[in-house]
Amino acid sequence: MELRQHTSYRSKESVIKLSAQDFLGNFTKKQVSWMYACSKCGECVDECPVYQQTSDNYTAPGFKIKKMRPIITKSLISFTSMPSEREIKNLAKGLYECTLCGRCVSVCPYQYDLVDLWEKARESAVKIGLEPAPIREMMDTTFTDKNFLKRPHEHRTRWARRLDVPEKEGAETLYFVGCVLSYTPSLRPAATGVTAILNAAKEDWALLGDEWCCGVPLKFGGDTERLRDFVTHNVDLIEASGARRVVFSCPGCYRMFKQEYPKILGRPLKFSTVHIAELASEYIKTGKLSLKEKLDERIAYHDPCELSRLLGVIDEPRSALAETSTALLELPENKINTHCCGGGGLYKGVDTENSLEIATRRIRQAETIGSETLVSACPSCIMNLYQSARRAKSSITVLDFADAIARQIKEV
Amino acid sequence: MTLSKIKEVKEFEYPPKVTLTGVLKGLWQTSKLDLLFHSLMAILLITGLAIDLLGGFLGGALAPIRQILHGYLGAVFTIIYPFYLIKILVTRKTRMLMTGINYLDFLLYTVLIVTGVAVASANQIWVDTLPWLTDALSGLRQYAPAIHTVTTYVWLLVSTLLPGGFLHGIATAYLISIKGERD
Repeated sequence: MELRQHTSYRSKESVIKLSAQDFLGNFTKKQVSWMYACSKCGECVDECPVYQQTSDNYTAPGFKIKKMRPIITKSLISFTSMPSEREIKNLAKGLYECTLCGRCVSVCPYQYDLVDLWEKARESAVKIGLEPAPIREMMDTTFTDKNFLKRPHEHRTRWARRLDVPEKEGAETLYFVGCVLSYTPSLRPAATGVTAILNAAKEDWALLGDEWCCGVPLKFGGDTERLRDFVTHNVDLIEASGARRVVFSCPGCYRMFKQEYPKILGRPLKFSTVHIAELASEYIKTGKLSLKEKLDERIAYHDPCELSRLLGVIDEPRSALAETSTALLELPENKINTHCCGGGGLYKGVDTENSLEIATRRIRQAETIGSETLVSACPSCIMNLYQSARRAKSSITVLDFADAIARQIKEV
Repeated sequence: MTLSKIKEVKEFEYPPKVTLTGVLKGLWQTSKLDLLFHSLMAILLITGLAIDLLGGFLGGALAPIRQILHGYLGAVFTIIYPFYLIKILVTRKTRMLMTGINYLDFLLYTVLIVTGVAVASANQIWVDTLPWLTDALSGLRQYAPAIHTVTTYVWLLVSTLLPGGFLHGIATAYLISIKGERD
């Protein structure tokens, strides 16, 4: 089959030879089985935040499976028919109109790992050039600049100037800052918050000298061939430093290190990984971190999908935040049932408007429960919620978890 | 924006593992009718194949398998099937996910049910209680066993190749058998 792509969808008009073996040919037996085993119950359809927002069938998880299934069948049984070119293009677009939040996996009655399926399908889309232009650009930028924000690599640690950030070798703990916090001035309080927490707890820590992007834009975008360089660079550097632990602000980086890096390297990492929410909670419990009197502020905590649903970090941020406020509120969709902020899975890169609209739903939920401050432990969530709150003219303050804790640190 | 009822998941661990208990629990949660439909479907297929292929070797077990497992459970299946079909057809999200082969599956199930009822309608209990049914199906009765058997094999072939209900079952069984391990 020959696919001629639209210029609106890809920067260069190109003709792609697409055959059943090419598209989705990278699926394992298990992934193929998920597609055939799908019971078509539609639980994933109702719960998908993007489908809720767009009502476009191609964003509904079950519908994507319906369109992917004949492609796989065609590769197994040649006389069966393929979806039309238009359907395949819509499918490829739909694969990226997804926040990879994992809600479809958690509500799937049979527990099929659809996040894995979407990531694998995106990989295949990249191989035949069906990825949207903004995604391609983001992946290329990541590869050349070592960050996906098109910022010079040598500016990565600029945020730390004039801050009390230890410059030393052989530290026990390394702080992996991530691209978003390193390069986004408005999110600087999140990184300085981590700095303040680590210093207050008298942690033996340092920054990773030549930190590269964790590779999540390549993983989510589907360019896994170029991902290995990032994995080996970061791991080699950390292991050579002798650090025993790496702390993260970004759940995306954290999940890459915890779940993907060992798979890619084929071995366990020689250091442990921890999110700042887990570490701060531990510091408070063990008395390494003393906080001021609780504030009379109505705080709600938004669970980042990757941190809560996909990594299981649920109680720690709550227990830490409970020490900062007399009123820690729960949003309607919380913990493993959290509702995505719309900023995950590179979705914002392909549909900014709907991504922000999804975040607005969260802002409205926070307003409904009477929250004054909405805290989250993920830079992408913070960005999306903050922008959405401003657009929606909401009075809600959006705050990063580390910043919220750091503000309450008792000075000694 | 479409606002739907929030489904609350009680426990979840990522990456998830497909297990037999998980699948049965999933069917139960989705709908009790689904669990009943799928369980009966599996029993009827296995017993039907056993009767057809192993009938000569089953000896004394043949009669109870035919009468109780295939016959009575077939009657239960006949009763619940219309409800299952209606549920599928009236639910927008399931209609959205159904394919042509799924509807062909339903057509073949209907043929199996009608021919099954035609065979059973000759039993004295139905002759006594529902004589009109016996009369209505009398023309079909002599061909019914053959149509029933042939339809089963046609369904197995079609729904494996195209793919439909049977491949759905095989894929589920495969996923359970690998116990969530990576392949």
